[in-house]
Formats: sequence, C-alpha cells, structure tokens
Amino acid sequence: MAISPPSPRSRPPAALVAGTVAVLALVLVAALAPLLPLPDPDVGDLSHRLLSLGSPGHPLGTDGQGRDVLSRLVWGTQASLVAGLVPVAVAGTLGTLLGIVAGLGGPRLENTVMRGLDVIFAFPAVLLAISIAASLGAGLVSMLVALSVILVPAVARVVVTEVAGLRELDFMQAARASGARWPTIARWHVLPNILPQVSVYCSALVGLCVVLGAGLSFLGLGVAPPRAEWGAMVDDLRQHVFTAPLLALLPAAAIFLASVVFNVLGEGLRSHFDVRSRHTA
Amino acid sequence: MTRFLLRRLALAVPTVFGVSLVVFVTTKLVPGDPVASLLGPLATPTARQELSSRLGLNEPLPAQFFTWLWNVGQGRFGTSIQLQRDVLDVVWSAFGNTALLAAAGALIAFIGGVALGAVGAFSSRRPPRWLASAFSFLAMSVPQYSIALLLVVVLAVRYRVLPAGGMRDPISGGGPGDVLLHLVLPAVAVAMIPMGVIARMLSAALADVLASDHIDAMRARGLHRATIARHALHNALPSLLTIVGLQLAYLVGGVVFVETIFSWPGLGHALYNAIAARDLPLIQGGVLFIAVSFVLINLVVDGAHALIDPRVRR
Repeated sequence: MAISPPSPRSRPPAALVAGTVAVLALVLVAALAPLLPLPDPDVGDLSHRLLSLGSPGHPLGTDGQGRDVLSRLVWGTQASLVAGLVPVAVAGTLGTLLGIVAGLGGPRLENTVMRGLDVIFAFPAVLLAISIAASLGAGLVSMLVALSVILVPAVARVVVTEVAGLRELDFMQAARASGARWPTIARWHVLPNILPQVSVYCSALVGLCVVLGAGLSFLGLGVAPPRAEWGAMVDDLRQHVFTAPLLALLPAAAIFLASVVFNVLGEGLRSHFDVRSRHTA
Repeated sequence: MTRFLLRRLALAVPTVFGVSLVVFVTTKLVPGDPVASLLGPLATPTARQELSSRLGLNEPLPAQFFTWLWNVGQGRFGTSIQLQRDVLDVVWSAFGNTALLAAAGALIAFIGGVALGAVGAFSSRRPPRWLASAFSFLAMSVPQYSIALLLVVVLAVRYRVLPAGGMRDPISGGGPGDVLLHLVLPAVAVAMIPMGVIARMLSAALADVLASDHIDAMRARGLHRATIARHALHNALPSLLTIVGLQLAYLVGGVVFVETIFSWPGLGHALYNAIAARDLPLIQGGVLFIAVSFVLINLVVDGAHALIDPRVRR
C-alpha cells in the first residue's frame, strides 16, 4: 500500500461525497428515532398482525406480533451502527498496537505473531464469530466481542506490512541511532506514518461488520429479541414469507443498503487518498 | 514441487494445532461453572468434587487441552445435547450436503467473477464496463441472507419457477435432477459476495497487466485482440488464485445463513439449530470440523497456485 496526500485543489471523488452524505443520513435517523412520531417499536397489537404495506397508520405494515415495521426499521438503525462501528474501532486500536509491537519487535516476534494470526485466518470468519458468541452467550456484548476478535488479525496484518515498509527508511534509522526507545519510535515515527492507510483499511471493514453483526442477530446470537434489530427482523419475518412475502424483504434491504453505503464511503476514501491495497477481504 | 508441497504440509500441522487450541479456548469461555449446572444448586461438595475430577476439570488447563485433543483426534467430539447423537456422526452426515452447496457456489462465483472482471477490463465501450463494475460492487456488498430471501420471494414464492427450500422433492423423493433444481437458488446466494470480489480483483489485475510493456508490444505487432486478452488473462490469474482461498472461507461462512433460509440439510443448518438449542458440543464440533477441512482446502489452492505459477515454488 502506498499513500499520497491528495493535492489541496483536487476535488473529492463522487463516491466520497455520496458515501459521507449517506452515512450521515443513517446516523441522523438513528439519533432522531426517539423524536420521530412513530409507534412504540417493541409493543404490538395482536389484532393487527401482518398488515400489508400501505395500511393506514402502518405505512410499511406490521410483523407477526403486530408491531409497526417502519418504526422497528428506524430504531434498528441504532443497533446496526453500533454493530458496524464499535468492533472496527476496537479491532482497529488493538490490531494497530499488536501490529506495531510485532513489526518493531524483531523478526522472531514478528514471525510468532504472524503465525498466530494465520491460525485465526484459517477459520471462516463467520464461524469463528459464531463459536465465540455462542460460548459467551447471546447478547449485544458477546456479539461485539466476537466481531472485534475476528477483525484484529486482519488489521494487525496490514499494520505489520506497513511497519515493515517503514523500518529501514532513513528517518527510522536516524531515530534508532539517536537512542530513541521503541515506544518513542512507535508513537512519533511509526504511528503518524501508518495511521492514514490503517484508517482507510478499517473504513472498508465497517460495511462487512454491519452485515456480520446483523447475521449473528439473524442466528439468534446478537441483540436480544424484543429490541428492534434488522438481522433479527429478517429471521422473524422470514417465517411469514408465504403469507407476507414483501415484509421480510424490508429489513433485508435495509442491511444491504447500510452495507452499500459504508462500502461506498470506504471506496471513496480509498480513491481519495489513493491507497492501493490488495487486502480486500 | 514435491519439496514445496511437503513444506506446505509441514506448515499445516501447527495451523491445525492452533485451530484446535482456539476452539478449545472457546469451550472455556462458557460462563458459569459446568459442574454446578450439571448437578444443580443442592449438590453436596463431595459430589461436586467427584464429578469435576471425573470430567477432568481438576487437571491444569494444558493437560485438559491435550486430553481433549487426544479425544478429538480419534473422532470423539462428544455427544450433541439436543439430538443425543454422536457429534461426529451428525457433522459427517451433513458435511456432504454442505460440500455440494459450497462447490456449486464456488463454481458460479469463479465463472461469474471471471466473466464480469473480463468485461470490466476488456470491453472497449463505457456502458458495459460501468455496468460490470457497478454489478460487482453491489454483489460484493449484498448480505447472503438478503439475497437468499430475495431469491425465495421472487423466484419461489411469486413466480414458483424454482423450489423454495429443502434438497429433494418431499413427495417424489427426487433424483439427481431434482437435487440440482433445489441447488440453483442457494448456490447463487452463496456465490454472490465472492463473485463480486473476484470480479473486482481480476478487473484491477487485468488493468495492471494491460498497461504493461509486453501488451503494448503485442498490440504493436498487430496481434488479434482475443490473443492479447488470452495472454493478459494468463498473467492475471495467479494474483487471483491468492484470494480464492480467502473467498472460499467467506463462502463457507455464508453457507450458515443460506442453508438456514433454504432449509438445506447441511452443516450450516445444523449449526443454526444447535445455536437455538444452545448445543455447544455440536457448535464447536462443527466449527472445528469446517476449520480443519478449510486448512486442507487452502493446501490444495496453494498447490494449484504453485502448479500454474512457478514463481511461488521457491
């Protein structure tokens, strides 16, 4: 990966603008959910089960327990953003630390860490997340832990590669020659030089994380049932696919949309900062 | 070549060991005291002591790990709590169906990805190039469960072209043709993301190759466009193979969701039911089994890579 700062006059790519606007819109929806004039997402009226789209008072219909689907979709945005952003932030921090320590700690340490990471890479990520979340017990926290754990190796590998590219450069040798210890080198010489690439790489993981988080909830391992969450809604509404086929598609489409939005933003950031990467996992 | 394969094989041993260690650690993550949950709150201390020594829980963790590994190595994965059947038995009988689905998905992903990527790189007009790249971007972003549900709603519920679930016709029992019919939708659903990623990677790799000098030289000599495309593809394929392993991992992960939606009787569906029943031995047995078979698949991919690209045979 090589990075060059954008020239001040170059216009940001359309993907970056569109992605930023769309992500801000998602954040706005999540933040404004309590203020919008919507029915309670968790309380249903069993006499109004499975209303179709366009019913009076329920523009997107109701689910099997008579809860308003539009309201649940709006409230579900919160869980989706948490599932997308928190694990990436946690794994980004831990992975960067691990990668820097491995990259500066000499070939022996680097080799040990990289072989350890290879073991995690041997798992299909979804399955490892399932295994961890199932062991910890279903819930928001175990879902976030599981997603963070599976992302750390990916981030750490990118960081190690970046640090390896810096290690032999003149300013690093100068720093070592002047007697700087490795924490100083890591903080003042390595971190500022890898942060842009690593952030761009991490931004590309958010969309994936939204999809996986909703997937874990779909499997019953994420957000606890009464709370509105898109993945759990898909699992709930797909039971009625023969009676109300369109209903189940709504949360499925919401997850797809969120995934596209974050991927567009990631792609925009990548092309704006001209990061060339082959790490697209 | 033999030396390369042997070295790869030697590297796979510590990986399998590490994979088992990770699964063992997740068994230790389970909150609560297993002895208390088995005996209930009224058990006497003597009974607790006896059970925990019988389960080997008094041993130090490394000893517990090696005992567990010894059992797993001999195929003793434990008993499924929900089904009261041997875990290996359950996993093994579902494995074939999952392998069939994954193989079909991989085939679609590879053919579709290469076709899309080639259109994206070779087409001389803008609209097809743009369409190919937009489609692969969307394919890469679509969650497996979303596309699976869309396929069910449109093609199975609305238009009734293809069956909505299962593996065989429940009445006639179905021959190979029937299984194939049931296979189409789930295979397309698991193929979507890897297809998008493969198309984008290939497109980028082809663009690099097409900008290189030897392609200019071919153009200057007036070679036919198809010939140039063949040469460019051959140059771009090895870089594609390096990501095929990762993509296979992603595909196998997606199988869990797709099998659940289509009631495909494979490992993923078994895992979904095991999660609902909190059947941890089955979950961990299934995950370990897939991860280990995955190390083996990667070994094969590496071998294929070495076969077509002599540079990696170092």
